[in-house]
Amino acid sequence: MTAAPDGTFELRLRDELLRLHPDRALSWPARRTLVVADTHFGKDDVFRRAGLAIPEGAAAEDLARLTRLLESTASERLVVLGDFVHGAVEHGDAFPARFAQWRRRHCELAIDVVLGNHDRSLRHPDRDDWTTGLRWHAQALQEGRFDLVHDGDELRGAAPGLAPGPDHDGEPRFALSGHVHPVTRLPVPGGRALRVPVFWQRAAGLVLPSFGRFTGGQLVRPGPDERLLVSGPARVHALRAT
Amino acid sequence: MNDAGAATTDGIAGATGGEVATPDARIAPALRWFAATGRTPFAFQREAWQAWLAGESGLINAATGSGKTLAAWLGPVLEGLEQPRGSGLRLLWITPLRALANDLVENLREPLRALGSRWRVEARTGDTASSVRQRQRAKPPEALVTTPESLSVMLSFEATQAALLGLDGVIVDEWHELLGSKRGVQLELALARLRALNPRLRTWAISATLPDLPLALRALLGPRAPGRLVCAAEPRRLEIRAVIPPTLQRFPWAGHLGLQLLPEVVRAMDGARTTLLFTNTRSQAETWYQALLQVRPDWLTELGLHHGSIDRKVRERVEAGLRAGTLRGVICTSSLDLGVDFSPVGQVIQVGSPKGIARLVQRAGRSGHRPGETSRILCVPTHAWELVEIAAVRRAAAAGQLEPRLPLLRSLDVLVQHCVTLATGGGFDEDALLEEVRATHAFAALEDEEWRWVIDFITRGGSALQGYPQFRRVVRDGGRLKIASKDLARRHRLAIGTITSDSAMRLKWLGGGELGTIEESFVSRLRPKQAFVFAGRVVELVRVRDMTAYVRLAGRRSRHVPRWQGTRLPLSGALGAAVLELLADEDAPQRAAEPEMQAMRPLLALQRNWSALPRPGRLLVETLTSREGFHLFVFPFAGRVVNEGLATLAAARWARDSPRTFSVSANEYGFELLGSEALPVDAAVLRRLLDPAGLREDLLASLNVSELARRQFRPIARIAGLVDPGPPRRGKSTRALQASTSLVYEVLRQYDAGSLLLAQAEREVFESQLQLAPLRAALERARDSELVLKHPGRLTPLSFPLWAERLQTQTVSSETWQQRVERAAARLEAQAP
Repeated sequence: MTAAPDGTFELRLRDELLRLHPDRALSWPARRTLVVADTHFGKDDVFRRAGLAIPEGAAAEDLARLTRLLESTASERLVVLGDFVHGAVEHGDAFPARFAQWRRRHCELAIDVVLGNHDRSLRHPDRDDWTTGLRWHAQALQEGRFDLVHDGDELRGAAPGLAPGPDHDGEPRFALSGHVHPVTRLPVPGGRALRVPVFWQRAAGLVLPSFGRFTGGQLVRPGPDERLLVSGPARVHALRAT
Repeated sequence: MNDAGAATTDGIAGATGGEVATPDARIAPALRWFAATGRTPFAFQREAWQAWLAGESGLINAATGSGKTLAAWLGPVLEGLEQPRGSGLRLLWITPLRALANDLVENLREPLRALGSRWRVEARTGDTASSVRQRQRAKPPEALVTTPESLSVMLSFEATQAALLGLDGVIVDEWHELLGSKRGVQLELALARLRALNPRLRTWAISATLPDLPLALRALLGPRAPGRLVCAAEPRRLEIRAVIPPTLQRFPWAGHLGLQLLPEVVRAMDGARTTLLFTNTRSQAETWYQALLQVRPDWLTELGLHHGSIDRKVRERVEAGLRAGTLRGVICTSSLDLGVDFSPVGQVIQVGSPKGIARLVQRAGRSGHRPGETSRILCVPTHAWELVEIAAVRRAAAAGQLEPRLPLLRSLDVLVQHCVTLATGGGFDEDALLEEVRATHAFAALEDEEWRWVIDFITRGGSALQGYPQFRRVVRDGGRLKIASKDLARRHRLAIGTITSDSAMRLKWLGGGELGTIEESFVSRLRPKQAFVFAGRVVELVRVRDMTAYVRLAGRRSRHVPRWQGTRLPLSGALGAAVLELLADEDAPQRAAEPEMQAMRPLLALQRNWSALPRPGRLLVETLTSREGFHLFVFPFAGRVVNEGLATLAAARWARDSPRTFSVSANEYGFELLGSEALPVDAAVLRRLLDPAGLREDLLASLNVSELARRQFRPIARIAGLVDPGPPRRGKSTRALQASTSLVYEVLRQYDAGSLLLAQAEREVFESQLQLAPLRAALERARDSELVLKHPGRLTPLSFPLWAERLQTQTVSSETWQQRVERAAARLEAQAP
């Protein structure tokens, strides 16, 4: 569990090395996999269609950020932990064209998307042109001793923070999830507290910050034995337990 | 008739057309009614009636309870008698508070029968049931009492706009309350629309006294239209008294005194007819309500609590009790500043600083409101310096020195909302609307590019240089701009009320039933199970869901009284200046005779002996080295907001010389910079710290202006329709459209930095938050003042409250704070002669 010179933060969990990035992403070097959560692509399209004047640009920046992360981690696979899109995608929206263009430049990349609650507004995610080649998963992805899932609490049922069932060798499994958009407040001397996205490390899971630039956040309070790791802007910074 | 009224009456005679009766004959029915009830109309009332009948527009300046309502109302009623019409809306009566609408309707109905008028008067506000609205659409009353927001909503319906064509006129009540706010701008635009529909429309307003009444008139009518000023000849008699504590703390601090004077307040309430007790904050109102009931449990059924967060139904019950005279007293905040008079009110008590001259005069006017009666107000200081404020208000009010209210200019968010409103109400022609908008005071100087941007914003999302694909809100339809869909129209109407509402949350019992509204920002600081006092009851938060906070009765007593936003009203600059004038008298041969000043004399003598007394043209500065570090105290008497700005500026300039940090604090009178090490201070250093030159640049460099602008952007985004109006009335289906205004702010800054709404947020930060103009004026005053630099070696009566208040914000538990402050005060008291 150390900070690396490139600003990332290494976590060893269930005998695996995971790397947290200041750009709100997680990489799993052994599997050459980059994991992000809650991209909410096309959110600005949804807003504009509803008459709310949100300028275009967030999606392009998010995709460029993905490119940088994929290249710097030499990942061959991208996993999105749900809420890939924000809402229904309509003809003429800016995002699908932009995404298709981005996809052509990353045609070798494997993309797994765990369905999130927002993705349900896509009627036929596997039949749309612009989503060709995306693998959709209605259930949690089980990879080694990790569950890759949208809502970690849903996986564990009614008792949040509790461990899911034990693995075959008796040790509990570990969930990587999104959905919460965790943020915390950092006090600023002489100013108002700054809201910053965080990774939320819990006993049996890690909640990723939302990836999309045009997404909000929810304040979380870490319980005992939990901690927050601030994502960005230049490095990942573990907060002392309060 | 007075001079001001005579100035501007040319050019609108004969607008009613075809009348031959002499002026007196036309107002005869009103004169007969007055005579029959043993009264004589005041000259200003006759003037207003005749001016209305002559087709003029104008402004009636009169205090609450001086007969202003009849002055404005009988003109239209008399005309209605002369020219009966089959049916249709003829008059709009605009009130700033929708809670007042029903009372107003009652008041306006009163003279109708006696005058033989068959007019119907009804209210239409956000609270009006839709069945009533439907009936009003089918068979409109002759006079409709409504709010600026409801008027805008009417303009958003094509059919209603047609009904407004037949209006004779509009009367705006309490115009001084709207002036200086965005609601005032909203109303200016709506009035311009009504005048465009009917060029002969008469516009009148009723206003309390303002320093610049002609400006208030121009804001009402637009800069180009002529209008008449009608002034009530005689100002109300006003009596301002203070409860003078038997012993005065020489080392006072904020909030300490108040409740100590509870026995005096109880005595005053015991001996009076109904009492209105005003406090400056809702939390103070809660505290006083509880304290009064603790000492007089027998008053349980006779005391009411009234503030803006309490549920409307409860407030209405309290108001009804006031009218009926069944209540001994009501503890209230500015929520009862306005409104219809409650005849039984015999006494007004003000707890805490009066904060402003006009405000105290207005509150005093809630008592003895019958023409000819004297208004009385009893002031209860919460710390010793407020005694000086009370004496200063009395002098300033007698001299007619009141705070100005400056109408806002070029609020593009409001203009955007208005344009979408008209697009929703049948559409508009771009060029014609520009001309109409420029006829208002607020937008007389609107630039072509600004107008271009507004049209771009509503039709394509932003300027043509930025990408807003798929955006649709307002579309072109055969040369007219119209709303793009019914759903957008519906959502826009929901948004029209947003100019008033802060992000208010409903407060409900867990088991059902409403308590009132409460600011989201306050609820967000509470944790579940945390107790607070609301509407006189101790409740605890259970959960927050869908813009509603659910609570239940808390078992235990709470010391945590809700502190809501927007209640820290700063002292007005005019009052600060009046206080300084009064202090100057203490050094003059003829010392002030006011009882408050006599009570203050030992404290002032100590201040003079240990340091000096400030006065106009003399800026007092004190330094002190203590265990905490090095303190610099400066006393410009500019009010809390401006003092805070001065402190920030001085700290930043000082830190620029060599890196050092200060903790900065301010109160109404001055500010403190606290550094870790002693610094050389002389006149040259102080002159440099308080130099008016470079003010804006240094503020920009020292403050996180973009952080301030992000907060200022919040209402702008709501008004301009950048965020969905959303809850409380809408279900979960729109959750996908929820985004915080700060997120929208970030996205706009990132991808459309040229948006004029961002520029407006920054401008508002400088104008209203940082108060650039008063700040500059304070610096110029400091520059032209003699500097008096003292090193008293200890805290003085002036610096002590500043020190104690800073300590309070730093210490966690209020008990240890109280103990520390008491110890310090006792130490100083022992040193004093």
